[in-house]
Amino acid sequence: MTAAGGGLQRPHSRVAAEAELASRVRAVLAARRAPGLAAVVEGPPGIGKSHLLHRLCAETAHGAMVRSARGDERLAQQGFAVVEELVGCAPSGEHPADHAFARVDDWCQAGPVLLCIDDAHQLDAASVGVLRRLAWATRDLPLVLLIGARPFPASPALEALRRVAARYPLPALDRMGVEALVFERTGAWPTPALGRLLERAAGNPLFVGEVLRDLAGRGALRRDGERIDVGSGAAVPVALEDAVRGHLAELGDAERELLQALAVFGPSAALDELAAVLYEPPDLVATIAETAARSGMTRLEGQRVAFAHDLYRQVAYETLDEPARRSAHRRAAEVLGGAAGRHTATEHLRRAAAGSDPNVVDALTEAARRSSAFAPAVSAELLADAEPFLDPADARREALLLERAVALFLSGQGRAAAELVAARLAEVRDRTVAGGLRGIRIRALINRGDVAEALAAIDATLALPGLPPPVAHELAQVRCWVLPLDGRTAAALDGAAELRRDGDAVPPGLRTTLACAEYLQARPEDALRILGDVEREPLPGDQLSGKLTTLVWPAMFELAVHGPHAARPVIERARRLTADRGADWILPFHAFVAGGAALAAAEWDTAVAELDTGLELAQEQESGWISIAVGQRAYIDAHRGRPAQARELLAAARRSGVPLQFGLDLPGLADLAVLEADGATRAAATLARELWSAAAARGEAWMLTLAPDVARVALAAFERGRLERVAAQVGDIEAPQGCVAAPTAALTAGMAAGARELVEQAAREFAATGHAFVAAQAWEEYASLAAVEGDRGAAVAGMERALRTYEKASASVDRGRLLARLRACGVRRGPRSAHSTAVTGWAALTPTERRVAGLVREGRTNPEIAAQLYVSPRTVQTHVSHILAKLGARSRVEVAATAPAG
Amino acid sequence: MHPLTLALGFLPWIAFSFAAQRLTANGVAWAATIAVAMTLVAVLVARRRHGPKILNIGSLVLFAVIAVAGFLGGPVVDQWLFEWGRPLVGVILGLYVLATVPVMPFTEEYARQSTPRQYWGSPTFKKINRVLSAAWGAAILLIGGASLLVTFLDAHATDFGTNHTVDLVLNWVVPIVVIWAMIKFAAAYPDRVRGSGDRPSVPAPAGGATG
Repeated sequence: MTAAGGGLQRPHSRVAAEAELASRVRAVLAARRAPGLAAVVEGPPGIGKSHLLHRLCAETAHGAMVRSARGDERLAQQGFAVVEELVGCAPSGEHPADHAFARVDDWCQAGPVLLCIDDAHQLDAASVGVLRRLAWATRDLPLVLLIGARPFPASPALEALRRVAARYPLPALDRMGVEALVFERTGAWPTPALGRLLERAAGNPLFVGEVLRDLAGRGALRRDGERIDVGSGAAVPVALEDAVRGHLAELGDAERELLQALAVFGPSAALDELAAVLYEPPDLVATIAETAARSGMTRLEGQRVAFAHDLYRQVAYETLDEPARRSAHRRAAEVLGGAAGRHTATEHLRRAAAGSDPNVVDALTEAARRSSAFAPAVSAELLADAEPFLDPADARREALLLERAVALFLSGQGRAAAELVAARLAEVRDRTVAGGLRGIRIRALINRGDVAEALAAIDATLALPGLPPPVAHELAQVRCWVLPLDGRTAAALDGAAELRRDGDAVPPGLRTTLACAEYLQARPEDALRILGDVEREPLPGDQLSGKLTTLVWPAMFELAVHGPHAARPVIERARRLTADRGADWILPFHAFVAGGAALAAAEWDTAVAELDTGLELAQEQESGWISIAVGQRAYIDAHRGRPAQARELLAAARRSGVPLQFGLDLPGLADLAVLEADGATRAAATLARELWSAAAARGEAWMLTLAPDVARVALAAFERGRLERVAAQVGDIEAPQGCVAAPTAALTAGMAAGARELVEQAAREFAATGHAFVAAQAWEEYASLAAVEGDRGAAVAGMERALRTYEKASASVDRGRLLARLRACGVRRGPRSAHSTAVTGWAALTPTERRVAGLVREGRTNPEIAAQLYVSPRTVQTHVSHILAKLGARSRVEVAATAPAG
Repeated sequence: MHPLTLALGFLPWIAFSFAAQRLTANGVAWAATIAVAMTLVAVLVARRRHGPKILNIGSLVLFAVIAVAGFLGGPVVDQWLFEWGRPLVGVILGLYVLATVPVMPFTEEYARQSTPRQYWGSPTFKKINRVLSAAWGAAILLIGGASLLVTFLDAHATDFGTNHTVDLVLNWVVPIVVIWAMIKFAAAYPDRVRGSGDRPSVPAPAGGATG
């Protein structure tokens, strides 16, 4: 998923780049409504990112709430450091990410918000994760998220953030920009000679400033009226770092030592802290700090000294030799020893150590454990940091490796976890640790949908000599589960039969496998029966082994048995249970099922809110099982007349190698919708043919899902023979269960035979269980048949029923198609009935939106609504933004003031 | 600054050149009145955001003088204006543009609309506008000169066929080619002088983050 306005922006000049970003920021803040903007301003050190961010905050934020913070690599091991700086500390027990999200959401209700985060390349992974979530939220909030970062080093977390934000690479200053900078610094415009000399700075403002300072220091600059010139033969440093190094060398010894001590300590320090590090009296240090500030490399802010630019710190740090650095870090750790600076002290300790050092390991593992609950990503980094300080023979090494793999997996970095295990498994001696590592790898591979690798890893483990029988049995069950996930139902059933040879009772580990197999064969009632009462399932033992998906399936099966109406309460109950059990990893899948139910019920705004949130959550967990949701989301886009967006979403999923869950080709069905939206009848017919010929192998449930669309496309392409075959094959499904089987058979048979009463029966049966969208498609066929037969009254009645649903869902492609089909038969929509479906106002809200709007009217906040409906606050945010748009309201207060009709 | 915005400044002159040849009684005077009206509209439309431009003032004075002379002068003046008005306007406008370059290059007024104030004093900004304005002045002078040559040849015409080709080349081909070339030049020249467009950001220093 991409946030509004994502992608790489490439204006050709610096002035244009800055002006474009400023105007986008201004537009969001002035409109005071969603969508907002998430932008990453990128560029090398000294290019002017901080300056631009600072200026944007000062100039554009009229009346907006502005909060800013900056990354500090000393705090990178304290998860959420920058988030706490932005929104304050979370109350104890509350997840800092949830707290930050709720706070920002809350601020946005009062008006536009501008959040500015500089030096993001130094952020901890947990903070970057929160920023990504906020970047997603800009779609539904009047929120501007401005992030400044160097392009390198590129952490995976930052890369993921860049993908959801608009990227503004800041170009170098052009000649005019450099001249304006010289004027700003000296009050005079440069002569051509000085201009040529400054070209060495390659348009980097910091470099230009350093060269000017250097030239001025050597008396090489000459003022000549309004112009400033340079003496002949003046040389400039080749690189920016050289310029800064030269600058540093010019300082007095005391000032340089202060800067070096500060560089070790951090981007800023209190004067007394610096005094303690330098073993000097505070008064003296204050005086030195004042002289040092005159160099422009540091700033004195009250009782604190701070580097004016990160690069000054980098160079000052580099000028210290290794032993001096280590001893300075040791001293800094002592100074910061108290509880407040615990995280930073650990980092200093790490940098102070050389070779193996058990104290560092203890400090780092202790810090890792503290982070494990809320910021496992930070834990993983700390554990990786700890390893080099362990003696190679230390037994703790292997345990730490396992702990790190677990932390990686739990933080949604399954790919990294699997790679770590693959690289290090061979060196592990401890059998328990090795088993744990293999387990993590298998889970990570399954989670990301790499079935072939997962099966290979399972088989390799099963082939190990001396594997304890319970472990082997459990692994074999996992193997059986992976097969239907990949669409290999028959193989899964064979495997399950082999495991059950000993007795009749279905082992709990096999129940989901067998139930899903039944479901895929269009026997959802049997699936529900096999699954049994999942609410009585024991609670998961630990975070890892409990990562089961049992709670998801009842709602999905119920949707097939009794339809969307009946599935809704089951989904809500499953969500409540999930919340009670804290089983957050299932949340994306609940959202997918809810989205699927809303899609079928033609409540497409609700479906969009659910599917988008689900896809975001899945992305956070690096889950690869998103094909169904991606297909459904693209299907909606295509039917709403946005085939380009649909295509982009499908292409992105295919690029990342997403497998087809259960072998159900929902992305293929979305492709078909895209071709229909494009009006490419022939190409659609060809694709429909391919989809249908592959359908039987994918299972009877899939045939029933696919049949209505394939039949319609065949009819449009005058492929009557194909239509008859589809009808016959649907009719031949052996003892199908569930609420869609009979009407689907009636619909296809009616379409093939031109039997209006069969199609009408199908439409009524679909509508009765809440399958409103396919019911509308059936009414469309009914109206079309009636029009051909010359029964104008029936045609108009059928058309109105279909149009009501299409318009409610904003399915403009279907609406246009239906009107065109009937117009061709001489049936038109009367002027009075046109626009009879409300697209704005209370009547246009979906039932879920009406429920959310009701809670908004009661004055509930988004987190409160989310808690009451057991959905994610992101979903509520999307609902609220849809509600505001439909009611034409600017704020929740206006929603409360608008009276619902009826 | 978009080159087309600039070309809009010459619209009254272009309109005058077309109308002066096509209207009959008091034709040139009416053509000049149309040009005055167009200039006034341009000034009024832009007055909220920017003051009148040096090019507008020049055009306004020039065309007002022609209109007054055309309406007040007798048939001889009319005839003279009909023959020499169009070519001379080009020449005078070109000279006016060239004459104003040292004081305020007319393109600078247009460029200021799209450039933040802190760059207005920059030597490069000034140089770009001096060169562009001088080039425009020369181009208009060239077009006026070509037109003048046609009128001169017309006055001494003996062979109709030759004159038709000469008219086509000097009155149509030359102006179109010159204006097309100027628009291309005005689009490319500023970027070339500023050194933007092809210059990447400075590469990151080795080592990346501190420590």
